[in-house]
Amino acid sequence: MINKDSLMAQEYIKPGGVSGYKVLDFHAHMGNLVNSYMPFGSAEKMLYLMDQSNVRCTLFSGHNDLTMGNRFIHDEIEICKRYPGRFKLYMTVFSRHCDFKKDIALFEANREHFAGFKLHPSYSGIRPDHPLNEPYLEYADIHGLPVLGHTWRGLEEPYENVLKRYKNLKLIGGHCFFDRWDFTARLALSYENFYPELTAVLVKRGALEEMVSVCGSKKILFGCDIPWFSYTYYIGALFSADISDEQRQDILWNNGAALLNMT
Amino acid sequence: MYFFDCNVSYGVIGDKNPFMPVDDVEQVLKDMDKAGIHKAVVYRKEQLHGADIATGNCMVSLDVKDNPRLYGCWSLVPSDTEEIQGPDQLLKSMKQDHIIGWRISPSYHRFSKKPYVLEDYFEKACRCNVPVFISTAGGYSLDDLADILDCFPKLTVILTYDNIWPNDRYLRPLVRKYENVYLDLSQVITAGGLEDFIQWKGSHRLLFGSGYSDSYFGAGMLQVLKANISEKDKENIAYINMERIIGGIRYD
Repeated sequence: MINKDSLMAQEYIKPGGVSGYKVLDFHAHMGNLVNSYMPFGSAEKMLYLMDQSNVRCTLFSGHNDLTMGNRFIHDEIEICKRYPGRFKLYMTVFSRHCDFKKDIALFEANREHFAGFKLHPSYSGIRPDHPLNEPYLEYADIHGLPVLGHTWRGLEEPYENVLKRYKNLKLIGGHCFFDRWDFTARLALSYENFYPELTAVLVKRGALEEMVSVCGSKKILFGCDIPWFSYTYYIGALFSADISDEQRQDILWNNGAALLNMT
Repeated sequence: MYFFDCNVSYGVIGDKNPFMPVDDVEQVLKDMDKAGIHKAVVYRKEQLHGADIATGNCMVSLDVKDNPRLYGCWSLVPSDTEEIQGPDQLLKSMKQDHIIGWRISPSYHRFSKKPYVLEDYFEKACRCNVPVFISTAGGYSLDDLADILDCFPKLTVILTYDNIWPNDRYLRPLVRKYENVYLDLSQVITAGGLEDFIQWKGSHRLLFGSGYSDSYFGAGMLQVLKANISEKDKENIAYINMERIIGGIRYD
């Protein structure tokens, strides 16, 4: 049953019910990682899980890129070409080891396969507002691109500095400054170009309800860090949350589709 | 699908409350009905954060003893301080109170994690098939647990590994080495993890657990319902394994 008060949840668990609800995933990775066993890390296995949950498109940054820079990015572009429309790549800004001109040439040569940029201060060791990231953020700002930030407690100030300076890029707050739910929701109210994203949030009962009560559902985006975590667990959590079915559909698809101009 | 949740907690704990605190058992039952959970093993958060051990244990007894859908766990501390009954007496009291296991949390209750500390209870648990519920959040590391299981290899352990990171490298060796270790799935949420684990070891050592009231009932439910595993495997996880464990307890 999952949630007897949600028609959407009841429809979803029926045979074939998944097909009625499209999902857009704003926070994914790909490949193996040295410190964890992820059995479904390949593109093909991720696609299998995406199809199982009707995830139409996944925006990802490869584990290789996060940990070693963009030396394997051509392999990931090939995956995007092999499965058109199903995967879009965030170019990782591995701040101390980047060549901006080279990166942007690659970005522009493969524009349809890139969603935007990814900042992950825990891997890069560089604060989001550090000068090393500036050329990428300026480029994203000029072109109105999504920038997925790994936002965690303690990173509030540097990310807010980015928002104060850049008004046209779309900053996606991955993990919602875990566990600063109220701060995240207020940031979404204060900055038009900030979008909370739900990876790790949905593990905590009540966190989403808290955020929706502050900033509504219209800016919140779905993601679950696949191949780390399970789509079905996260969607089950979303179905269980004390919000409306309309708000669930906003989060799973509508908000993201509007942000990316998808139909 | 019938669901028997092996990990439910609730109660009043002041500033440690989650955003949507669940103060009493009536709210638990209401939310179980809303999600479609049929039965649950429960403990009260007051058993970890409240007054004395006996009061916390008494509170959960009062909640479950007249409710066939709920099974309680009592907290253990070393018998040497005589705050709770010794293992023989404790076991006799359990059946009438609908208590099916012992929850052990050395960090919360401030006692040593060495195996000898609770050896009288562990010996009784092995002889009578009483499951012990251990969450790594309560203080035992996996290495502490292995030390206990080296001394009491027949002990039935329902293990909650308190970390959602992909955890098979930690958990599979324990499952391989110790035949009565069962995994509560409340924080085992790796993409494709159920399918991969079952291919490795089958479904008999996995238990549906939600971690409610800190997490949602429906999250783990959908993970089981939509997994690409057989209906029999789903049923094993959803309720059969937990019922088998409870059915094996020898109260007499």
